[in-house]
Amino acid sequence: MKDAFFLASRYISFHRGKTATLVLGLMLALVLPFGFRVMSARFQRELIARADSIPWVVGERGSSLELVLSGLYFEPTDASRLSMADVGLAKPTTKGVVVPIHCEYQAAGAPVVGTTLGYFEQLRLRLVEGRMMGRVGDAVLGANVARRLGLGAGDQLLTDSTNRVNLAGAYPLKLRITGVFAATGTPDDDAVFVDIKTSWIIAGIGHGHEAVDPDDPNQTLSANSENIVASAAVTPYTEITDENVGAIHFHGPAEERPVSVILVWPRDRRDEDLMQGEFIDFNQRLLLTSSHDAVNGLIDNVVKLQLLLDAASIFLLVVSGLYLSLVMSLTYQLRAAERRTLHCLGCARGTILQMHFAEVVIVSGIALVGAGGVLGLLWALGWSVPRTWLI
Amino acid sequence: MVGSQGVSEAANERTVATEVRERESFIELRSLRFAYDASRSSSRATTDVHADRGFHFACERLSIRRGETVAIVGPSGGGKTTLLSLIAGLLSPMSGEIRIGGERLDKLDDAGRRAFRIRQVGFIFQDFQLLDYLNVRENLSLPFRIHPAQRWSADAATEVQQVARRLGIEPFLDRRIQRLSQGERQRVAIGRALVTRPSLILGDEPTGNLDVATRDQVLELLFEQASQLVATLLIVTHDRELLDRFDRVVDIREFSTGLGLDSTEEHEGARR
Repeated sequence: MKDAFFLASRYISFHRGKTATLVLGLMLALVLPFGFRVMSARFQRELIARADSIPWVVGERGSSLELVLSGLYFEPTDASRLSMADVGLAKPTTKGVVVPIHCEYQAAGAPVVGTTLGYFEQLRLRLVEGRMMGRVGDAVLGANVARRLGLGAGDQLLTDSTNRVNLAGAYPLKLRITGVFAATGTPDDDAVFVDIKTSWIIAGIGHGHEAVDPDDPNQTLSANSENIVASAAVTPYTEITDENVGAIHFHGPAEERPVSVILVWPRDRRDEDLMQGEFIDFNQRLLLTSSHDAVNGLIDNVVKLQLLLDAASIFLLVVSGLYLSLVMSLTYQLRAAERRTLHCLGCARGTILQMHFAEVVIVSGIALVGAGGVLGLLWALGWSVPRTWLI
Repeated sequence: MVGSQGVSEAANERTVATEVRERESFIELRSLRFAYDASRSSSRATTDVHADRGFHFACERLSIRRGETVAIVGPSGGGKTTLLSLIAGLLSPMSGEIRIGGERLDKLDDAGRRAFRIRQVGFIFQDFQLLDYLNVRENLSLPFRIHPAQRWSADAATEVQQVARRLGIEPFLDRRIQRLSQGERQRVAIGRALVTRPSLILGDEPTGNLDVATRDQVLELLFEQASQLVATLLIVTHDRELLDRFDRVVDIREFSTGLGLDSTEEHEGARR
């Protein structure tokens, strides 16, 4: 058998291009189903872990999954449906922590998450560089954003422009980066965190500008004893500095300021039960959703998809097996002259079959080892199914 | 069969062989009958052109002495390859005797004939039949890797080296077959046939694909090596120019008619 393997290895080595194609085909047939399983298992673990870290989400009635995803993964949502008044309504329902999230804008492709200190405390986000935000206009970067953009404490980051054709709309705001969070392997790594007031400033709800002279017709559109409507000649600040921070102000009542979702951490199980009861009673507009329930619903769908993929994978493996058989059979036919020569030299048919068997074993072995390597790499790299594939 | 004797002992062997040759019949064919039957597995293993057209072969008697060089001639499709295949044990006769070196080949089963082949026979083909995925050294060592009776060992490796040296292909040992000239390839094929020190060398038009100069070189080498091994040399050839070099010429036409009673056309030709 040793000599059969020697000859088989020489044959395979000589036809390395064809062998590589065959091995690659087999590897793909093995890696696709098992790779998806590995990535999907990790995806499920990540979903559950994230749901564990943010157990309850409050939003406007509608799809609980969308609500949870916007709360847990900072999916951009229309923030006009909830307001700080709703935060005020949610707070008395629990003895735990209630945190508003405002997430409508992006900076360099990363979501700008406006929130309060409670969020960082609940998720135990740790700074690896710099300090937390000290005033409006400050930002702390998630680990991936900092690495991707090559930014750190002391640098600046401009928010993405959302309304280039609307001169009266919100202008990009230059954020001052005060720190970088340690990597957590969660969506927090891919976010830019700001104080919720900063987020409202980006939205144009709060702003700062030079003093307006009510008597200057170039600077005012209208003026009365209560209100002055400034013209476009009065440009808002696009960067908040220690000098102009005092001029930053908000218009309208505080409880009307928008919120995307409200995150809730009840103090204990009893508090959780009471909170659910409270929500059933008091408000028909707000929806309290358990992250676990929403995520489990999603995982059920993933499992169904997995079953479908498993069936497809079995089909793929059978087809690959048939193709391999066909290739081996054609190779066997093409090598009739070689077999005749070996027979003339005294080689038994059994030995020739051993050679062919050894070739199949080597090709399959390389494909198996290769597939195992790729799967191991997938596992080691911690890749999971991209969320956008499944949601 | 691999021994440690070197080329230096060849002269003594030659002297002994010359004496033995005079009196010993190495190959004996008697009342041999053969017809192709597609259902027989042994027939399927040959490259013979008759395998699918009801060819009949008969030979009442043919004797070849040890160390004799014999050319087998005859028209295409006359049965030359069939005769070689019967002597090599690739085909099994319907009746009659094939005795080689005292061993009854016709009595052996397939495994026995294979063992006989790997032990006693060196085969050289017209189109070399070298394995392109092996280099020269690996092609030479092939007989040691395909049969349990011939194990690959240090002795075998030495024999390969020595054969390569004798045939002048030592510098190419690690070269791919595709990078060799036709003449070099046939030298490798001869080396593969000689490496187990066979007592019988069979060649199916081994110089058929070579130009005249290379043909003469290769044939000279083949005679020389066969002589050193005291091996009987049976060569199928169409080339009439070569016949004088053989001890004897056998015309196949006498066999394939089915009337070949002691009917070999013999020429006593001086080798070289």
